[in-house]
Amino acid sequence: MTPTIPSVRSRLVAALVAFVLGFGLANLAIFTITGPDRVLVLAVAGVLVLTSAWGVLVADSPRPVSVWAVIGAEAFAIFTLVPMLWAVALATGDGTTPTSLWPQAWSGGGFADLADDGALRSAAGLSVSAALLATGVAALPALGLAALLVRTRWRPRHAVRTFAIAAALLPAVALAVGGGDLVLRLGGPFEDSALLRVALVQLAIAVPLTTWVFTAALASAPWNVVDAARVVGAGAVRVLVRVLLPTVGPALLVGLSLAAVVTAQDLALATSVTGPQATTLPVLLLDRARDPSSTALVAAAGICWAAPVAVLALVVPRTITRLLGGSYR
Amino acid sequence: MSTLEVVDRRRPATGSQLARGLPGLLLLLAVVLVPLGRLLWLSVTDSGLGGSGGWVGLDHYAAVLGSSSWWTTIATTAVVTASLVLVQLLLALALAVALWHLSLLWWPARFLALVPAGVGLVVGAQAGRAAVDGGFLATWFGLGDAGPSTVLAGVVVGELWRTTGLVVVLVHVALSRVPTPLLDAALADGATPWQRWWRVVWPAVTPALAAIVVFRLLDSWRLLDGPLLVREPGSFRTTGSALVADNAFGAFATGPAAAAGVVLVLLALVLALLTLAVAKVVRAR
Repeated sequence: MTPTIPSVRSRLVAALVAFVLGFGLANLAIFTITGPDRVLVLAVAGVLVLTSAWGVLVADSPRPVSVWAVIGAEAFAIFTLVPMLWAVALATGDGTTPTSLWPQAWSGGGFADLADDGALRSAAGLSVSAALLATGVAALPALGLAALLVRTRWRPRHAVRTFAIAAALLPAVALAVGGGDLVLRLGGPFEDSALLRVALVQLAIAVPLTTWVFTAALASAPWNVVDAARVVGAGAVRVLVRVLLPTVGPALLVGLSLAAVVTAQDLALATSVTGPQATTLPVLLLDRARDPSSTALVAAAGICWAAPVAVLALVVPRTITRLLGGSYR
Repeated sequence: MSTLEVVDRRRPATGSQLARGLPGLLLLLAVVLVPLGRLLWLSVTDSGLGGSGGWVGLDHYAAVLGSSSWWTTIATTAVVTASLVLVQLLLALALAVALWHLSLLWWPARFLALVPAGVGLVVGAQAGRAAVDGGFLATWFGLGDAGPSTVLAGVVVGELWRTTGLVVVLVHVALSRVPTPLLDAALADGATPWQRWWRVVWPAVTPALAAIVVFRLLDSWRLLDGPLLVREPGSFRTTGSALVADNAFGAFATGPAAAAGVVLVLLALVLALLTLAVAKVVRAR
């Protein structure tokens, strides 16, 4: 957006709000919080008071900086970092719930237990394999359908896209009751293989989700370049290799990865077709999370489980943003 | 051609395009409609542990709809959904606007916003529960023994942390699509910041916000992991999804659970349609 110069009054009011917030937090820290958390909250209060002082200093300056926006960014940092710090405090604790936000023990806590827990590793393996299988099966048909929805004037395209989005947002537990009952009745390889059962029932999430993200990815494809390539005589393979893969290939890959991540996080559908002998990570974590002595292990597993999303957010942030932005157009 | 003319470059579907799209369409219909069909069938039969599997008509529906515990659960779900979505939307709107003004910070902010979504639902819920049940929030504010409502609130806070970043990114994308020439023209005309917000930015982002609200409403409506984690036997301070899951996979009362599942889906549809209707009215005004 075009930078604008906020009014002096707006900056002074923002500075006042920052000061009041900082003052309130400092009082909270001094009178009610003890231990290392007090220092942490006092530091946040200090940042807010400094922001207030800076706001007063720049109130009359021609710099196009909004003090409100700076307070908002600080609030955003607190809102995202405090729970992350709490997750680390839980994961590095001795198993019981820590009473302070600042981690008290850096002994490895739940991370050390993760390596020794065979059940957790096999549950994670089943989750990942089933999600990859389900999204892999969904990928090609969903790509064809997404191309049909994006590229043509096919009459029911709006209805089909709405159906895919609605299906992706349906209460999964409803699909689990019906789908799980059907899958458990299947004989043959499904009777012995938890992987096949979970992958089959998770298609109910993977197919609508993959169709949805592929539609968003293909909507931003340079179709005019595709048309131009066709006009100058390029065949289907050349168009695919020279135009489509370099332009929408990364978005399709990232979309597929996100669909796999969401599918792997499913609890309801997996619960309906697994038992104690072979289960997925979310189901096992739910079971473990009920036991207060497993707090560190569950938190550590959650932090590790977030790694693929963190890697994607670090490597291809723009593609993710474009996909998310295209998801509701 | 006027620059305001919208050109639709789509062409009528060819036979080969239809043939390529058909497997996906059939798969999509199969993976959604077959389980839903089975759900409907289970809801009208005496299925589940010890059931005969025979036809019972609408008996399960009558039992579900006549149950006060079911409606207590639905009321809890509605309160959880409404409070979660409202707080999340206001928070995300404020944070996204702030980050929209500070474009330099967007790269690290986007990373911080997206990572919590990767933390599993159970883990987010557990972190929220632990914070209010003996954790740092309980220590700071002297919460003492956390009751079921406090614990459920903790789970909702965990979900708020897990998903608000995603909503911030969605709202930021909507804000970045506001046409810059319109903002510049409003600035040149001497519009105040509030006038620019209400007359230029707000109308441009309303459709996106409506879509985001529908997504979040439906996603919160089906909240399952956290409520399952904190639910105490006999307590109805839980969500509809958790109650259905408890009945289907805990008590193996498949028939009543299926009927409750059908009602839950229908209520989700009503919720989505109502939100879209409200959004249409807001947009028209």
